[in-house]
Amino acid sequence: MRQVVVAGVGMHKCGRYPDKLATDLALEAALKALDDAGVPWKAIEAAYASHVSQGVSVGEAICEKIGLTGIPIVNVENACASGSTAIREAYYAIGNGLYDAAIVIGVEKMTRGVLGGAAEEGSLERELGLHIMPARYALKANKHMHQYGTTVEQMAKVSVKNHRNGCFNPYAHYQKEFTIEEVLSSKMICDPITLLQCCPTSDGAAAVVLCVAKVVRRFNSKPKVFVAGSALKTEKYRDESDLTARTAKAAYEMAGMLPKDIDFVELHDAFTIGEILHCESLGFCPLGEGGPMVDAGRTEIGGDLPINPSGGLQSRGHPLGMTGIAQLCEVVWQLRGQADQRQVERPRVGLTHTQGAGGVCSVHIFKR
Amino acid sequence: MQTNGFLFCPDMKRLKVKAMRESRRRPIKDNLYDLGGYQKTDFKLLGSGCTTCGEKHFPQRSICPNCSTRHLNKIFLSSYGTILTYTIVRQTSPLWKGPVPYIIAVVRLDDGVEITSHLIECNLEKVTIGLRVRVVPGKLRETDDGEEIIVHMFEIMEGGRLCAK
Repeated sequence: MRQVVVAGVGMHKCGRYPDKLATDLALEAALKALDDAGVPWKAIEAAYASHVSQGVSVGEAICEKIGLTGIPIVNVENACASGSTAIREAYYAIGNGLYDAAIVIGVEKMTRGVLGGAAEEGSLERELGLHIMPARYALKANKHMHQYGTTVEQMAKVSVKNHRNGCFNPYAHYQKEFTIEEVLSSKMICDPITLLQCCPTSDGAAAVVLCVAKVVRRFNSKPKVFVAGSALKTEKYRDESDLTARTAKAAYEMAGMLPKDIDFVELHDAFTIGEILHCESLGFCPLGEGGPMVDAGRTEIGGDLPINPSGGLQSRGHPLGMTGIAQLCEVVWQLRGQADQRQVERPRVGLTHTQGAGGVCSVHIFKR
Repeated sequence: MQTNGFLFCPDMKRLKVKAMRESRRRPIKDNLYDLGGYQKTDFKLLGSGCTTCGEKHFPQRSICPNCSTRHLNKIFLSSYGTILTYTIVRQTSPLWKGPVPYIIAVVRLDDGVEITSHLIECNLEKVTIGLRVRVVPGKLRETDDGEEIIVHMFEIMEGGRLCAK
């Protein structure tokens, strides 16, 4: 397969924009990514647009604002992993020689309130009120606490850390620090998960331009960020192993890397317990050690494995279709050394991870 | 495999319909439960069992999600199980019409099937992982014309009355 480079990235700041259209947010992100890549619109051979509940053919509506060039446009929906899935589709298309350059745009305008998962209308799950996302994670949290002695303070520390990181990210929805006490005393959503342990409902957009490596020199001379590994998996019936662990294994194998080769991580911290669980499943510590790893400060920007230097979903926000692509934006800024106050010390390899309702997971590894 | 000749006995069926009318209670969907006479102890979950791989499922399926074959039988599932994990839902989506808070638990039934539903009538402080529960009919909500919608729920068993198994 041909080597693929992330040539340019761009984002629209996350927040609440009742007066803007989703396509307006997406347009800003797309133009920034094109400018960053130095790739003219006419050189883009395909567009992938990821969004979950924005309606029909949003990708076409975004591209119509930039210019009708007749290229194939694909709309991608895969719950919280939509953005990562779109990146993967573009990556394989370019890697296999279908196109030389493609743009991937993720956008979402979220409705306020508790997020329901992937339950059909009229399904038993939905009728019983079992499908809501904080409840799903709360069930996992209580099990982990019972099994390994993980504490609510450790979970709160994830929120504290990610909100602190978010203060240095101009694209984050929230630039505000919180204390452990504030996190724990915020409104209880589903025991033991409090409001400040849930990602906010944000609007936002992100875009990346992917190019085949041999072409990118024509456009810019920025440090090259290569796609080293890409994996997408779904739940297996009665599978003993964890979905994230299985997906990560495939990504590590493809990249020829081990967890110890990863310098920093952008992972799916929609709820604080998620960061602890995924940190274990991605192989960064043994099962049950995710909590102590947070306690030891190892996941801070200055620690030995910074997790979510962008502020993660907790602070940047989680516009569903945007998230996987925003994670890649952060990885590129970090690997190029453009992350200012939240810069991780000289990273060479970054990993992104998203996991979504319906049992889908995606892991990508990028290297300089 | 358990036989369910009982289910198809016409007299019993007529009695059940009568009981349903009188009590103005109905299950949320068809083919989920055998309601018996609406006594807690009569209530049984209807599942499916795969004749190829032996896997059991709830609710009933027409294709086995484990081996993808289509030879499934209707079976009664165990009415007893153990709490694997739980949470108290205090804020829920606008789609939820019932009261909050409510407790949901993931339970492994004694025949190995894992199901998730509400815990009923219990002291929140008493709930822990590993508790024994029994599957019972519970009221999910009332319809506008006063009909009770019944679903399977879990009831914590008191210390001395734990299931023998």
